[in-house]
Amino acid sequence: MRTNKSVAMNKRMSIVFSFLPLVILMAIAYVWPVAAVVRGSFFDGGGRFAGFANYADVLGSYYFWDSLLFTFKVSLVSTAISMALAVILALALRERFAGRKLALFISQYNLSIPRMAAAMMMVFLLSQTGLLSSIVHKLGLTRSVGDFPWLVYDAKGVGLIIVYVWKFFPYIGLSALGMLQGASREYEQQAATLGAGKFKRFFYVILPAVVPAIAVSSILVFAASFGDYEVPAILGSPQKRSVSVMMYLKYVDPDMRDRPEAFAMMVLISIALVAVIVAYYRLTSRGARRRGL
Amino acid sequence: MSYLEMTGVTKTYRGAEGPVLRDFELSAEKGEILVILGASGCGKTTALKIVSGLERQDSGRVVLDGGVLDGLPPEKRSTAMVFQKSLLFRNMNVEENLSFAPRLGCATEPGIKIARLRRGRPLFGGRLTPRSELRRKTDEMLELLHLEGFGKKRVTELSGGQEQRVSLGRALMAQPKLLLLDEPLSALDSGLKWSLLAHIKELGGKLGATMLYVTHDQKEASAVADRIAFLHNGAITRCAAPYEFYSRPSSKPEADFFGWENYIPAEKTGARVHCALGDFDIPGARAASGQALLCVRPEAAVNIGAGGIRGVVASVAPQGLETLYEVVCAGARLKLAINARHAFGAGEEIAFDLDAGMVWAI
Repeated sequence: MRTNKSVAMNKRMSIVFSFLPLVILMAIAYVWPVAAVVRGSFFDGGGRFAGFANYADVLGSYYFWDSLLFTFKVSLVSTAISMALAVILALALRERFAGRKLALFISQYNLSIPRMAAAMMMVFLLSQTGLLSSIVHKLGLTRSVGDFPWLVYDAKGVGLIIVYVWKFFPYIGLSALGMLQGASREYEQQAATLGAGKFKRFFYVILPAVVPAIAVSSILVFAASFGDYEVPAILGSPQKRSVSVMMYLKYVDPDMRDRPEAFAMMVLISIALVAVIVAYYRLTSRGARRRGL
Repeated sequence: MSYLEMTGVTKTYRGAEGPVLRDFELSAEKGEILVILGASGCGKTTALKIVSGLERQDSGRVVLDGGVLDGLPPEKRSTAMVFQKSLLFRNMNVEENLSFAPRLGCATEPGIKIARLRRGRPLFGGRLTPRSELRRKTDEMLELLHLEGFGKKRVTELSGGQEQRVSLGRALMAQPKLLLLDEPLSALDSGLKWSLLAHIKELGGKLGATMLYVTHDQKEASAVADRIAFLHNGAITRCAAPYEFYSRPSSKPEADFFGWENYIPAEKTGARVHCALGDFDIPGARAASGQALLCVRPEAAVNIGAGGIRGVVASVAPQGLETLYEVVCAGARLKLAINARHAFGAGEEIAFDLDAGMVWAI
């Protein structure tokens, strides 16, 4: 006769076995490559163990810090602008108006466009030979298309920021919309009857309600733009490379001696991003605990 | 002119079959607790929302303390509302919730507009009041609410009754000219409800607050009201002291609402009412001479077993201390609640009289 204990054990084993293929797949597709990168960062181009020498080289490089700062700035500005636009989008989409469904569809559709396609679209739109430049020129606002400002391939990362904002703000906005469509309106009405005007309601009622949703999605947006390769590869300036492009160029350099440095960079950037995400989650969970959520 | 005047207010919601409020008239005096009582969906909350500015009337006028409110946004009306849900701001503790209006410079009365920022200027307007003043006011309110020591607590740590008390205190801290309460106790259990009702009445008295209170529960209305305004089919049919509704209803819907259950067709001549049960003298009854309805409260049966009215018990429903009998007498069916020590079975004869104070004609 089967005891309760053996039944429970069998149940546990069946769960383990059902998850095994997934675990194996993750090990092959994720853990092993990461381990290979970490391992590679401790060896030199000739395959000899180099300790932390590659890390020291990367951390001592002006270009690395310059690229890191540039990438950080672009991601931070993109995320900040996206957050602001997201709040506006969410506030607009929660109202009823003609074309709301279309606006909602476009916002959702935007998410599905590949970043590479988005970058190409911006080239056609914003480059000096692009649509906007032609329109401005035809309107007589510039003497030639060459007078149009460099919005792509520029060292300030304007093109990158435009693509990231265009691509990501609807994502954050839709997350905020979910929150706003909940109980927020009742709380706004309550605040209004207590004498709070539009601005006070926005800062003391709406914003605290949407911040958790915005915070979660914005950190993901920050991480996604920080680690992105496609957009800076297409729209970036040769003078200011983002970290991902720099890593890739080092990785594919025919001179194999640079490859371990690329590995060290990957490890450093990954650690930095994980640290940001962990710090963020700790902050938000503390905030949620304070709000009793 | 009364402190609050609503005249000719009409409101129809888009897509609705008819108006929810039609020619709605209401007036309240300063310091009064006026309860709007009516069935669910009769337009009570709409009336309250129109006063608060959360809804706009199609026509009619709302005047508070001599000022016309029409067209003003809610924040400019000097009214504060307590909803069915407590709607406490979850990112603030009890103290911060209570001081919401004065802290943000929203309170109506001068003197308690408090600085939000340390630098001494409230964000987006409002006048400066010392923090010590805010602290004092908040502490006083906590004491009034019997919530001493709860100031630093998170609102999620409060019970339902405590939450609603904080919500009430928060509205009072805004020092409104008129406090609007939209079924504030309907989500609470019975025991808590009665203690809070007494508390609201006490607070109203202490602070001299004018309150417009909405409920569908006649017992709740009677417990808290100075006067009750009965809302039926979108209009106030009568505004009077609670006792008036219990003892002298003016219409059948009103009588139904206040627990009158028996209506017997009758003929009225002056103060005399003649019906199948006999003749009754009912001085002061509003019904004019002619056809009328004799209303009998279920608790009206007295002199059980020895009275002059005789009937046969049709059904028996024990309800603890009382038993509800359906009695057929002279062709009329009466529902009577009789003390359980008198026991009758179905088909038995029962004799009783009717208490003159529990009989009325409409």
